[in-house]
Amino acid sequence: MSEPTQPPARRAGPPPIVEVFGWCLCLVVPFGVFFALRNAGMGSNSAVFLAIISLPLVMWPFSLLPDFVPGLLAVVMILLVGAAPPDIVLSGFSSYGYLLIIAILGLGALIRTSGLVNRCAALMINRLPGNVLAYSGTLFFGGLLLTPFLPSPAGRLAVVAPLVAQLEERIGPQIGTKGRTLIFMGGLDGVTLLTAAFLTAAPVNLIVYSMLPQQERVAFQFVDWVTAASVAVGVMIAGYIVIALLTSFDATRIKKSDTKGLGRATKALSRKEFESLADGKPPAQQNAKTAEPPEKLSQREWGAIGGIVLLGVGVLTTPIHLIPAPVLAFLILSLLFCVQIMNKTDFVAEIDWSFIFLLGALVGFTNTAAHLGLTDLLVTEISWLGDILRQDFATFILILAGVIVTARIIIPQTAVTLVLVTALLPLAEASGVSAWVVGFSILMLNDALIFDFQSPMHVAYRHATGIGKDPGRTISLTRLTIQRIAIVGLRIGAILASIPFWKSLGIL
Amino acid sequence: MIRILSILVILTLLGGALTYHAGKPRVLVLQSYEPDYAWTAGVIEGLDRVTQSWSDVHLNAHYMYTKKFSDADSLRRAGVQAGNAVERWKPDVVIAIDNLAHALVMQDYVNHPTIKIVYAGVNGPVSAFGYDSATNVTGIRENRAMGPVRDAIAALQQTGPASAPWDGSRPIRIRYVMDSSVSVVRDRPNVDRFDWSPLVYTASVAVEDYPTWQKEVRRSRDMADVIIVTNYRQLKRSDADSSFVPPDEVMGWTEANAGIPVIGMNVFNTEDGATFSVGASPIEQGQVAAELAGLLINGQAASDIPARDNLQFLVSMSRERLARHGLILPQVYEAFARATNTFER
Repeated sequence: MSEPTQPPARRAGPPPIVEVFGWCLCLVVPFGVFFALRNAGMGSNSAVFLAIISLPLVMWPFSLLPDFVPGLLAVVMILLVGAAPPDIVLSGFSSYGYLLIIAILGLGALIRTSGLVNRCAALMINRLPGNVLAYSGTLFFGGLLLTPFLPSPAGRLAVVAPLVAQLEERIGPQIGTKGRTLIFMGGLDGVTLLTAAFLTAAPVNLIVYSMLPQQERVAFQFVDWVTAASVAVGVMIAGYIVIALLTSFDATRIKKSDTKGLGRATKALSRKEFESLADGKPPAQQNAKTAEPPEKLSQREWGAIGGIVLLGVGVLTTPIHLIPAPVLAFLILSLLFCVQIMNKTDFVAEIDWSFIFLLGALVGFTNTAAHLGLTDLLVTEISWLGDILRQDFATFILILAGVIVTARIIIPQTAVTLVLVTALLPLAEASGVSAWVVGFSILMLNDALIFDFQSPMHVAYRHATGIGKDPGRTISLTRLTIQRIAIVGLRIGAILASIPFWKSLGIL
Repeated sequence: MIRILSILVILTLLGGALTYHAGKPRVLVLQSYEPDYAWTAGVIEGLDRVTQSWSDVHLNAHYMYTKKFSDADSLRRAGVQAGNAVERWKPDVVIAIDNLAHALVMQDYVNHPTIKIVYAGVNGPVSAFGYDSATNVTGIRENRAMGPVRDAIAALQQTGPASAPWDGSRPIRIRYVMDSSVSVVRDRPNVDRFDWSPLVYTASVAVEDYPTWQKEVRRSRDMADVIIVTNYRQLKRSDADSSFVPPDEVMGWTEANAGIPVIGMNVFNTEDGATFSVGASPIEQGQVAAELAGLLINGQAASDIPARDNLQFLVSMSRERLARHGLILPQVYEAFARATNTFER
């Protein structure tokens, strides 16, 4: 029996019938929520707020509009009905988290577009022993190194995917399906496996950071975040290596001449190009011949290095200067603008502004809910979950994993994260459990997926790498699926293994 | 050329801003409890009265949530996290409020070369934390309002037909019922030793859970004419359910079932459901603590600033609950409670 070799192509967005159903729910649910809550005796401001919030909660799972649009719509409606003072509703747009996400995405845009990443990739690839395992390992560990510096998994994949595409194009015919799968996995998992472990690895991490209680925002800045995540990181890396070797071990030798100049001649895809791949559109310049970068570092590359070094030094010396991390990051971004290293075009084009608006809206929702006393109400209503969270954290993680893995089959990743952090972070705080631990666990588990269709990013990566373009470039879907299921278990194991460490740090 | 000039200008401006920023003294407010606890909210109000005018100080606050979560594991975690906050922030002065902030964290900083400590809200002697011989510590004591509570009870008058003990035919007997939280148990000997005359102080009892509390409240009717209370926030619902009973539920039940007045020694006890209360002012604790911190950051040595005693007490009362017991307080008490917005109809 021949094993399946290609993930099925899927259209972007929900099927029309589901979309129609979703829009009908948008009409029914808010009114239903409002009248039900009013009949139950809830105050009018609280009822109308929850009715409005139910709108994005319906829209997100159905992917009816881009994620940020329901958020902004709800903000405007809350302001319109005057359910809470404007300074509370709009507080997300003046928070430190808002400043941090702009700064981090701006720095990330510079790092990505400066060419520095490709230069580093070339340096690594060209110094490797010529075999499949070494190439896959390099892609994986290179991706891990990239994770804290490029604040978007999609952005990292846009850098790595053309490299994988070139590698597979050059050595694909010499190696088998197993070897191609190993390289495909190395490129993909290197940049996505540990997204939750670094504050700066994804916009959604910054959303979780922004929604932490003030004390925990101080306690879990850059270094503290990764320190607290370090046991999980160790378990994930060790476990991943075992899984990858068990499912797709291949050490076929490759002639060095086949990969000569690889990396340097590869151009990272722009954010727009990569996003268009998720919709099944071919990138305009995916196969265009690209010029090799100059021998010397460009000014923009120096700027990117300077930005990273300044941020690193600034973060490590926080106890001396006491500048909050968001201010520090924004200060560095401003400096890069002042010295004209950062330019307006990249700033506008390479930053996912929709996520920034979403962050502002979400933090505003959380603060409005607290202002209206709804957070306390929610905590009371689901106090049983708070008891489990407090008394048996391991069981809580297993329940959370079950909910997330099931929900992620039909609901988009961001929607699941948003709904869970909105409900569970206040619950954690009210239960005396670190909100960071809960937020980190949600992020870790929510990155787990089994099928490509669960993430547009993965679809885009598959298209960008050219996998399945011709019979000589197939991968083993069975091996890939087994590996992904094993990683779901690994993620749960990594969180559970971190519990004694968190207890020793006084976090849990 | 222009580019180099622009970089120099910007770096100079930033250097100036950073120097200004780095030169500010750092003050950490370390609260044992949570910000929505009535006592802590009062302390914050007092702190704000002073710190709002501090423009040249880095001010940060850390809450330990030990009133809400007080099991051994939570206390350990609260201590570690608060210690981390002190180490991370490296403050010049820590204003530490209530006993647990000292017991779990600040007593390790006695005679610390760079960190000075201001205490407030401490029940019992500060020698328990080694502060009596420390050179880097000052603060304001929180003496319980035993004298004012005694005077207020003695001043109670009946509204209906005269009966004992309110007719003066025999002394008024009081009984102190409390939960087993650290701060009140530590302070218990002070209350037991206090000269309550002309009242008769029959006994004090500390209980662990709500059923025992209910039993002791019912027993009190045969043993005393008044129950006095301080804290009841750490009463487990039952052996099977270790969650704490909400304070308003405890006081609501107590006031309804005691059959005798329930009088608080914290001003917020009335808000929870007690008949009336007289307590140390949390606002004074916060305000004086901030004033002392101000002296320290202005260069005065802690050893040159003697600890202060609290001077302010607040009265809160419920006229309806007093009337239910057929009692009234002299009008001056009501006038004072009205002036401080602690009067309930």
